[in-house]
Amino acid sequence: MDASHPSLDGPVAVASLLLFVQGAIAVALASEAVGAAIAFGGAPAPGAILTVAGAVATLVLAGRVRGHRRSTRRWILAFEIGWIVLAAVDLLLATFLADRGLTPVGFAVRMALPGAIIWSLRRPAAKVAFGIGEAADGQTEFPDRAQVPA
Amino acid sequence: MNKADLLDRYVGSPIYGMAPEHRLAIVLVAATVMAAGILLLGARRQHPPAVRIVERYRALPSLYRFAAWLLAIVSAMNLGMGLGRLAGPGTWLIAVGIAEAAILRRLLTGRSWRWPLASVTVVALTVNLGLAVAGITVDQVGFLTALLEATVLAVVLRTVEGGRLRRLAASIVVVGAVGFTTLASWGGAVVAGLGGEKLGETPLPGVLLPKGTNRPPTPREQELADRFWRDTAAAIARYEDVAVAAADGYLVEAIVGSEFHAENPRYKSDGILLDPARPETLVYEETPDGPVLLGAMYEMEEIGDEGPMFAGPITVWHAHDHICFGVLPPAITGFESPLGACPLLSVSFPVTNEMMHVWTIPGVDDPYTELDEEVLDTYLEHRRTGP
Repeated sequence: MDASHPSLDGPVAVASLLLFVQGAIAVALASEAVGAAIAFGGAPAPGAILTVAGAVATLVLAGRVRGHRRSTRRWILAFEIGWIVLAAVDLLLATFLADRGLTPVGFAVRMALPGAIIWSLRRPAAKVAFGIGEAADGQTEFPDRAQVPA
Repeated sequence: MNKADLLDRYVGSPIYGMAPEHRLAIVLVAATVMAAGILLLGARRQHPPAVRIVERYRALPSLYRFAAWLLAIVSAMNLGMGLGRLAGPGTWLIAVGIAEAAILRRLLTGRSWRWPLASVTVVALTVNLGLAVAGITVDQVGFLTALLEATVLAVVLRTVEGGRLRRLAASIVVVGAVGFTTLASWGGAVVAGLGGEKLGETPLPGVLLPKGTNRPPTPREQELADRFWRDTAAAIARYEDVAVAAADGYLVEAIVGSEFHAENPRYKSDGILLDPARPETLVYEETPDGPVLLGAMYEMEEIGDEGPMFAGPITVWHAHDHICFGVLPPAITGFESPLGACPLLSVSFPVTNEMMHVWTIPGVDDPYTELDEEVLDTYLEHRRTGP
């Protein structure tokens, strides 16, 4: 692939990739949740079903982010903040009960990864791509929506 | 007890921790980041080799720059882990680390790097599988390395040219790589922890054992253990009838699945310990003919209280860590994933109070450890078919 291809460059490209990886992680978590629900309770529990829905939602958002719709960006930001809030709850519990933090992978997956996605989508270049801001010279830096591959 | 000392008293599954021999990996990652800083400084001071490398890096598109950083980190981690355990898997990890460094060089010098990287990632994932089969638990450092490698693989495969089907297949490969890595991690931890119930052994994921060294019990300790087992079996025999258990306050309304734990909220907070007439929990098995009583479980009231090992190495108490507790409905929903999360609508409890099972069904060799599934199946079959 040509290294100058628009799908490789810019914070939106990085956000898209990170979202996809997050989706892959969510699929793994959903599989574990369903397996555990069946093992512990004999049937998928509400939490397991929600986890599956969360995995599907993540992959859908990962596929839509390159459409550069503002609503998609808002959904993603809200979703990622949700990930971080849930991680903060577990972190508070672990700190309160045992003076411990999250596991290293837990921190990377539940705080660093959502944080990186939020950071990427809030970059000025990403805002320009979503039609929210303008580049310093008043020109948009990225191809307009019609040219961006789906 | 000081909360910080609480978990230091126990041995848990390495799946949630960091093996001491992997500390070198962290040191090498820090050294890699420092080296990048030194390179940047050298470029600012116009040192030609540094200028060349930084210019090549800056000429890369964003995704490839991201991949470069990931490659540098995973290479350092694999080298560090490999050097930390030179025997066995260490050699493979060092080889993977060197290969990843070579691929980083190819990326920075404009040569073909995508398919060599995909090949090395397949090797790395195969090493993970080999570790699982050998019963070597992939710890948090190893698991994080594998996730980062899957991320670099995603850079390669997600930018593959071609139609939708090809891109979909590439996406499935990445999702599969993450799932495979997670499964291998669980597999290694379970193989390493199977049968780990005594002092000095590695437990299953989610189980904490007190630190210590196992030894044969003394005759007096064996006598105490046998007597307590007889007393428990005699005292709880009446709870074969769940109506009697319900009348005494056990929560037996919805017994489902295997080894269902029916708690008694009154007995869990009565300040009385190790009373066979008042065990905190009864354990039942759901069967087509109704619930079958398997035994009792005694519990300490507070997290951090040490269970009394009144019969020495026979009566080893255990706690649980990284247990997922659902809020709607309130129930245990499993153990925390090595990915560091519980199912939605669940929170992760870092540690529980200590507990000890006493299995009262006949045929159990050691009633104070994990219930043998074969013994359970034989007992249930015997009940079903009659004498």
